[in-house]
Amino acid sequence: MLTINNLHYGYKKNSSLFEGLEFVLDPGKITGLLGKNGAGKSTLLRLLTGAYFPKTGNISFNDMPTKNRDVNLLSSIYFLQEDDVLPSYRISRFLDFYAPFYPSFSRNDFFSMLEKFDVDHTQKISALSFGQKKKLSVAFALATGVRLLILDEPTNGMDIPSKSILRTVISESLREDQSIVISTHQIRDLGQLLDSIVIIENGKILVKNDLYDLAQKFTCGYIPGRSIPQNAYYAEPAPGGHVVLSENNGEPSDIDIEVFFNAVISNPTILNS
Amino acid sequence: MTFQLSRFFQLTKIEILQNFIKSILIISLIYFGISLLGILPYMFNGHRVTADIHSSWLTVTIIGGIIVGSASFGEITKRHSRINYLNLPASATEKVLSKAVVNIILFPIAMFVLFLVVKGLFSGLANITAGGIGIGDQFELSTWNMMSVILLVTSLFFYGSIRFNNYAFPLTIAWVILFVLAIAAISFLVALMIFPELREAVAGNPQAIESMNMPSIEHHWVITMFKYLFYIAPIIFIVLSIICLTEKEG
Repeated sequence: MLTINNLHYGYKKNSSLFEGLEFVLDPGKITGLLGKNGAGKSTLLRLLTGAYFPKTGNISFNDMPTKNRDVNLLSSIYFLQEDDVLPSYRISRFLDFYAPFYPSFSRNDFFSMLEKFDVDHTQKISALSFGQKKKLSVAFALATGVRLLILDEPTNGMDIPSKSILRTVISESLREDQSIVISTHQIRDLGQLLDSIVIIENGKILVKNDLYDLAQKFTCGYIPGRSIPQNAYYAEPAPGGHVVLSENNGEPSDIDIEVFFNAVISNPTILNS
Repeated sequence: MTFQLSRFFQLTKIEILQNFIKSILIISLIYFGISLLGILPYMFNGHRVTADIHSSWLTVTIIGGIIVGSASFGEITKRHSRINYLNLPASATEKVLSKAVVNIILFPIAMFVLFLVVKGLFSGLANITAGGIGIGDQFELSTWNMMSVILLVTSLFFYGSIRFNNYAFPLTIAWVILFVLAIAAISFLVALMIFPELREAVAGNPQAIESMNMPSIEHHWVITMFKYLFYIAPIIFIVLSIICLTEKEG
């Protein structure tokens, strides 16, 4: 379980990016971390892994403070950065060098994922395209079998079929004792995978909810024509009509995360309605 | 302090295969080239002379030590690779010791082996060259004494490379200048305290210094302590590197 307790952080002494951030991530769930550019998503991910130290407050994973960077903690967390830096040598050597640091690493899963992503495992990493390198990084991250997997923009640079494969491999690889945090702007690529979302705005948690709960409260739909229904919390233009976020009247529905995000960012009071 | 041999060996393996072999090959080529240039003029002149490949070895080893030491923590120069390195599941002790073993200890050993190889090669060449050249067997006690300097310089730049994320080399040089000035100032103050002749000389009687017994100074406990400090310094720099890595952020 990942616990963030009264987290304060800022890059400079007198500036503050996060003020009293608090939340808990339960195992067995995939959480989407959302926020505008500069909201501090990547910084928060670095704090979660122990690469940055909180000014005050605590972050712990399974009761181990992440800032101590204890080996047991590090071997149960994997952080895939947005622009991951990979060496130039062969994939086999990369595997030989770094897989032994992760006790639960599965070579079978790794090669199977590379095959699904159509990446030749005999190649040199320097010969791979940007998208192929991204697939290699993702395959390695998923094969580590760690209990907390943190992915920053994992679909960047991936082609359309690969995004679909990524969704499949993530949902197939998730175990009950595992948490996955995904930070992404490409919410349509991965929205179907998420169990819950965390939205950060102005250094605070604006939303921290299971998507199931949000779907009980809100519904999204397309309304043709120019008029916007009076009970709509939020509407954005779409060809020939509007996409609208409104109150759910008890009917089963899916929530459009992108529309919901835009709605709460433009008018946070809808959360209290 | 967490330390596991298997992780230490894995990190050492990565350091050797990823960085060290490349560095040592480049330094070997430079040393071979310098030695060859030094010997070539004597090869065909009909006279037997003794060529010196020893002083160039010392120069190359000290400069090579500075380069290898400065490049020890190349991972931390960029934020992305720094975060990957900090998040790699191994303790700061394992990470620093694996690099120290390769860059501070293995480096001078590899350079010594290189000296023997170059010496053997050119000695062989001397035998088949008309007139010939002799390769002086200059690896004497003074060379072994220089080992402490090589270890000190390499470990100092090793610490600099973890202490400074960017511009490690110039910043370490600046830091060394300050460090040397501080040591000189401390040494001078200590000398003033323990040698009355020096106090007299500073007070305006320069002749007093001539009455100092130099051999006894060499064996003074303060001077002996400084000599030992020279050997202990690499260990201090390695410990400082471990502390620095523990406290480093991405």
